[in-house]
Formats: sequence, C-alpha cells, structure tokens
Amino acid sequence: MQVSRWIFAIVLFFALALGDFAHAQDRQGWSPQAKGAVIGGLGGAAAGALINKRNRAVGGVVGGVAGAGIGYAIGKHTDNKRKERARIAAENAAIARNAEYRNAEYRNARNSGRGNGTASRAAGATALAASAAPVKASDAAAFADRTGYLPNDTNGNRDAAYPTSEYRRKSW
Amino acid sequence: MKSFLNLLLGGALLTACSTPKAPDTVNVQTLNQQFVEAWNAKNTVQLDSLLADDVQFVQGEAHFSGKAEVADKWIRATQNTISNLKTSTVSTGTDASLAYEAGTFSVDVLPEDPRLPRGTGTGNFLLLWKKNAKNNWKLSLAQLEGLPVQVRR
Repeated sequence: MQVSRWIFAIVLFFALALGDFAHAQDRQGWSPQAKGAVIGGLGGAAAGALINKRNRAVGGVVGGVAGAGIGYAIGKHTDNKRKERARIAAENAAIARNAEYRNAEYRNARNSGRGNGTASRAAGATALAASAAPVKASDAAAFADRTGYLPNDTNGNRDAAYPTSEYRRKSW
Repeated sequence: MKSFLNLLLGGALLTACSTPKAPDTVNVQTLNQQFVEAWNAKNTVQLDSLLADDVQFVQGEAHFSGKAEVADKWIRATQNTISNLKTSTVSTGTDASLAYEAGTFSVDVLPEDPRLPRGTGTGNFLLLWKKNAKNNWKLSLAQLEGLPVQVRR
C-alpha cells in the first residue's frame, strides 16, 4: 500500500513537471528543468534502490523523488541564468538600435540642412527633436534616475566633443 | 656755476637710474569676468566681440578654428543649454601681449525636455587672451574639459 502511494506520488510529480516542460520542449527540445529532473530522478532512484537493500522499491521511489527535485532545482537555476543573459543581450541590442536610430536621424537632419540652407536646417533639427523626443526623453530620464548622471545624446556622433562617453560631459 | 653743474649731474644720474616704464599689462580677471557675464546674459554680440579672428576652441575631440566656426558651434550651440556659469581660478599670468587664466567651472545644465532633470556640469578651463594689432585684448584660445554632468537633486 505504502509502495503504491510512493509510485503514485512520483508519477504525479513527473506528470506535472513534464507537463510544465512541454511548452519549453516544443520550442527548443528539453528544458534545463526537465533534463535536471529526469537525470536527477533516474540517478536518485538507482541510488535509493542500491542504498535501501531491505526494500528496493521504496528506496528507488524515495531516491527518485529526491533526485528529481534536486535536478529540477539545478535545472531551474541554469534556466534563470540563461534567461538573464538573454535579457541583458536584448537590452544591449535595444540600446544599440536606439543609438543607431538617433545617429541616423541626426545625420539626416544635418544632411538636409546642408543642402537647403538655414531654414531647412532648422526644420530638420525640429523634425529630429520631434521624432526622437518620445524615445529619448523617457530613456534619458530612466538613465538619469538610475545612474545620477545625464546620458550623452551625442554618443557615437564623431563630430561631438565626447563621442565615446556614455555620460553627458558637454556642459559649457 | 659749480652747484648748477652738480644739479645737472644729479638730474642726469637720476634719469639714467630710473627704471623703464612697466609694460602695459591687462587684468585677466576683468577680461574673464566680462566673458562669463556675457555668457550668463546670453549676450552673443558681446561674446563675438571678445573673440579673436583666429580663435581656437578645443574640447575633447572637438576642435573649432576661426571666429565664425567658434561662434556658431560653441557659443550659439551651447548658450541656450546652460545658465549660471561660474569659474574658479587656479592659475593666471600676464605679460605685454598675452594673458591667461585657468581653473575650474560649474554651470547649470538646462533640460531639453520637461521630463528630463536639470544637471550640474563641472570641468576645467583655460582661456588665453592676446593683444591684437589695435591693442585690444581678444580671446585666442579656449580649452575646456567637461566632467560627467550630474543630475541636480
């Protein structure tokens, strides 16, 4: 009776765990949690059966559950680290895209101003300010709040005084 | 006759021993004060009038040459972004045709967008003045080094 309860518990655990992993597996094979749980479960079951010589079934079930739990935790930790790396990479890519967008707008405004004189240069600058303002203002405010320094709007602009600085250095 | 000759000799001696007149130097603090006040008053006409024709401006990777370029790319590009410019002198020097002042500056940085915070800019400066052919003192070199602009709390 007791053995059947353990078997039911481990089957339930694996069913829930593997059911949760199904989506991740659809995307890209086995998730780290699934791998960890299966490897831990199998290893734990084998170890439990070997250790508990008086009742190898119970030993296997207990070892399997414990091993699966530990394996799941290790897999979850690995998955969290992988997601954090992906999030940072995506954030960096967004920042780079944003900087490139601003630089392109700046170059366009400058080029249009060169060809058509002062009036169109002023118009280009206004258009640049209007198009870049929503992105720039919110990003800049968040940056300033986070770092305590103003961001460098001319980062990447080779004509500026400080084109490689993340922080704004140009004041006077 | 003898006393007259002694008087003449004494006068000649005094004339020979008198030190030559000191060269006509300038008070560089006064020049810089005019310059800073013109910045704070956003008086571009006065700022232009203080620039030499061959003025040089150096800041980070930027280098502007000539009155027109410096007036356009430094003064007009910057004047509406800052206020309350203050300087603190570290070193000065003057001679007959050259005067300089170097030190640190601080300035309020105005936000371009109302959602952005105000900033406080600090840095180092060197202003070099030269006397031109008309005996007027003009700014010949401005070298600025800006430090990261802090959010004003």
